[in-house]
Amino acid sequence: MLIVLVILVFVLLGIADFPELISKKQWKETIILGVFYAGVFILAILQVTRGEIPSPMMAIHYFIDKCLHMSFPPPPG
Amino acid sequence: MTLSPNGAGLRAAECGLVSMLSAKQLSYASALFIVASSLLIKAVYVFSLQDSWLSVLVAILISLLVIGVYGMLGRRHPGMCPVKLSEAVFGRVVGKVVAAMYIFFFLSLAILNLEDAGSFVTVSILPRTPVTIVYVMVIVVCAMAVSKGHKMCMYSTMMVILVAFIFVLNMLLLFNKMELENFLPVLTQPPKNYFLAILGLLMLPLCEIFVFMIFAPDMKKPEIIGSALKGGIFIGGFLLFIIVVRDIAALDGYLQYTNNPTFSSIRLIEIGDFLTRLEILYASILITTFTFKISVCFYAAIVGLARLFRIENYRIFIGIFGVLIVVATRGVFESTFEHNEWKRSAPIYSTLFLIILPIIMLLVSYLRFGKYPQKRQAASGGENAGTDGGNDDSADYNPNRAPGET
Repeated sequence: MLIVLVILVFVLLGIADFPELISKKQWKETIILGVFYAGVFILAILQVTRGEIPSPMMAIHYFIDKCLHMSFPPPPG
Repeated sequence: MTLSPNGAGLRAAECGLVSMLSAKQLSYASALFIVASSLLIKAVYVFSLQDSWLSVLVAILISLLVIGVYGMLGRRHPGMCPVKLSEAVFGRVVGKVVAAMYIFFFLSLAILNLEDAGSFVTVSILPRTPVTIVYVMVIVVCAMAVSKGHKMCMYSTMMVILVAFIFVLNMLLLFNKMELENFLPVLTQPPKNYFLAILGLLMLPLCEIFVFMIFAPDMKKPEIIGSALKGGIFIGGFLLFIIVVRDIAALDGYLQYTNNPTFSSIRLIEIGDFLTRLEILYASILITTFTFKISVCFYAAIVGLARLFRIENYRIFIGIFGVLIVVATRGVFESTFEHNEWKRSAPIYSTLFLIILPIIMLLVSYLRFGKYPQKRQAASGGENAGTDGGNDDSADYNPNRAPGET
């Protein structure tokens, strides 16, 4: 059910964005936007089906905490 | 617009300056941005307890120095946003990498603030509402604001006055619950705790107004962006100071144990039997300011991206980035534990973008362009236009373009 909702949202957004770009022959914009659509669509489907997506913020936290050892200490008490 | 005898009014209208941002508007907008973070200052109370008001004052003073760096960048390269600034200072290749990092930073701010707003709403106001619904509703409002372009900052003056009025009113209504003894003893924490509290304040609410550098090309006088941001620090910092003083005076030791001290202190308001439950007023203000903050970060991310790829109309990214922000916000933290863990690293993460990179940019700008970068760029502009990252960027500041276009 959620997959259908995700596909519907992307179809509606695509209808709103792409026809104007294509009619104006703005190919660079069309390609860049298409790449973002594909990436976000994959992320959305991954989240709906697997329930999780890789979090860059936790990777950054891991780097700051475990590699740089610079994160704040846990709150006292 | 009324025509002045010398025709200055006509020229301003012709140039489209009437829709440009003034320094005052940017000051109020950045103050509102700072106030939105009042929910995120719990760490200050945790580390400096009853001395948090001192930490706020010191952080405001230090932030003025940091804003001075942004101001110098703004004066040296007037009308350039962080994306164009990176390309102008570091050159095409390295500049684009730094610009992409800034775009990621702005996007991450939008995601993290949306996560905070969602948590606040579902924990404090609407506990049975799925958090995704809150995310979607907030991001739809933000998308509408972003589609208006830099005009979203023009109406923040009224909002700041309203917020200040409500904060002062809250303080007066809480007067009977406040104890001056709660501020004692003074300076009893280890120095490291004050350092952490000040760094946390600097990076989370105060220096985050660096995001407003994205509006540099939309300003009437882009060279005074530093002064505008300093004005924002004064107004926003003062409001933050009021919040912290009120919380310490009203809550005392309970400060450490509550997740949202500001919300808890307003819950204490009880005048007779009729003036209670005023926290909903604060919640409305907080959601509004959060929405503004997310809108600014959202705008900065997509306008930055459009400028990076030299795309004229940034609005084509609103829909897909709105979806991206909702999807990423749902997946950014799996649990409250992860969120709390992230809060330990957030100030260090922000330090790179808000202090280290701007200082490096300023140093490289001095090394590459000397004391007067505009003269240097103007002298070599005709020959190298299009080859040097800095020389074709004057196109970024174009008062004749339609509002919101990059």
